[in-house]
Amino acid sequence: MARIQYNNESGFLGAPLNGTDTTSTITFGGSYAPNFATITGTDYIPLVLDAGTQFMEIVWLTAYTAGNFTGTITRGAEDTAHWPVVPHGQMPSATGNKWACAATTWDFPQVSYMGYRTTAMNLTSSAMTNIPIDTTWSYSGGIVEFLGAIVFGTAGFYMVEATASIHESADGHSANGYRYFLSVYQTGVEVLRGVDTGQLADPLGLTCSGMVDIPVGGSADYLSLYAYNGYPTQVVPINVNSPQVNCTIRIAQIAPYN
Amino acid sequence: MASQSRLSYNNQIGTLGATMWPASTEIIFGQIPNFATITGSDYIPLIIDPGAINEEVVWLVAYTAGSNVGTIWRSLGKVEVVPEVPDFFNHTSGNELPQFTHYGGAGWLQGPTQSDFQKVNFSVYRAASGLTIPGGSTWGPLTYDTLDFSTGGANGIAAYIGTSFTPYTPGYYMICARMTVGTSVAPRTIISIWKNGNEEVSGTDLLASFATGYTVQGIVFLDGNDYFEIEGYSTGSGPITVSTTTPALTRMSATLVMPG
Repeated sequence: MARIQYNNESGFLGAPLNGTDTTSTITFGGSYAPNFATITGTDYIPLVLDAGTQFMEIVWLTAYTAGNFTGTITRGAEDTAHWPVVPHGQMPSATGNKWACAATTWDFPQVSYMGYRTTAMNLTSSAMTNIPIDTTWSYSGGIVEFLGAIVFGTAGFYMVEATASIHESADGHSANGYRYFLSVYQTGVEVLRGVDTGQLADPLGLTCSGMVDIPVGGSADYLSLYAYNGYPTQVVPINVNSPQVNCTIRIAQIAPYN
Repeated sequence: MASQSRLSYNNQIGTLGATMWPASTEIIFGQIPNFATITGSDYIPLIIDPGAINEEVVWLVAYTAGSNVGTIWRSLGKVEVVPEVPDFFNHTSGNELPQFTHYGGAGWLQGPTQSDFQKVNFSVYRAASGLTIPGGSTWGPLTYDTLDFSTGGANGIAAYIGTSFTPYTPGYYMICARMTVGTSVAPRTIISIWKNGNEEVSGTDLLASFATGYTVQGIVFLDGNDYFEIEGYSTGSGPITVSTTTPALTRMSATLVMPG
């Protein structure tokens, strides 16, 4: 899927659009068709109707064949709280009549989160253990910590970077030689795993980074931090000294989900 | 080019001091712009005749501060020296043209274009068994067989799965990768990002007797023709089996963080 943009593509509507449909046929007015290539797969072109007026609406052109004067649009595709589906008149009309290919707020990533864990806890032996984040350092956009998980309010592509530090086992014996690693789970499924090593200095720093796609947003998509303790008989404590450094997750939106 | 900077300025707008003919690579400003001298392979995107039927995006590639003349790259036929839309369509005649004529007095401005909003996001992993790296102190590429997601369309990654990847949009890419081997392989194993056949970013280098998972992260400039690979290396005797039981084990992602 790709969000496709063009320079300098705008024009008039060749036919009105009603204010009720969720999917409509858009008719481009004028003597020449838009200079769009044929849309393939799930690609789409964001169009703004009646920009700069109270009747503005963002639609996605999801089906179009190069050279045609019509295409299929998804109505109210973005920010319907402010810019819902409304009627658009055909030129000339008092209700406005223009379309344009333009950047919208979706094109300016704005979601970020940094949080960490301050409360001591142990990693269960021979198991993956959830490390709930308990302190939010900073955030922007629609993203929050809820019950230790990071919940996204906005669908998108996100860069994730996490660190955790662990101490030697609680029994005071060297935990060297067992496996330890840090992972990021998305809605209960492991999606990223960091370095897997048993070279346990005390403490041992673990990292995990990569990109995830959040297709929905809201409670349907959340990220959690997990660590694996390969010591077969002993729990291993998390190092929460300087937690902003030693036990943290940092997230930045790279792009809208498209 | 090895690298370049796409430069932006606030509030730079004016008119042409002379007509820019279709084959011309010279721009004459009607008023001296407030640009610094362009060095190296940096450039400034300019929009000529913005909003008009003959709008054209050009790159100012040579300019000396205080001058009213500069050198531009234009779209030369279908060979897109300037990889920016629109692609030479004349809305008045309905014909496709290599470049437009812009008459003296026509407007120009420095502003964001389609390229400033281009997104490329890409993630693949290895699902099938049978992948190995050579071992024996020899590098070998990782081959991915399953696509997580890919955005950017024709401006995105050329091949969705495979060994080498070419993003069509020039820019700076954040690349992250992980490789898991089935059992620890003494004494040393590593993965790295390779660009055009050369090692570009080295990953975590672990004493392998305790390790089975290896990672690498780095920002790499790719010019639209460059390709990159993830390669694994081990001093252990090979071939060494790569683990593929879950997607998180052997995965790679790349994202365009800034156009170049």
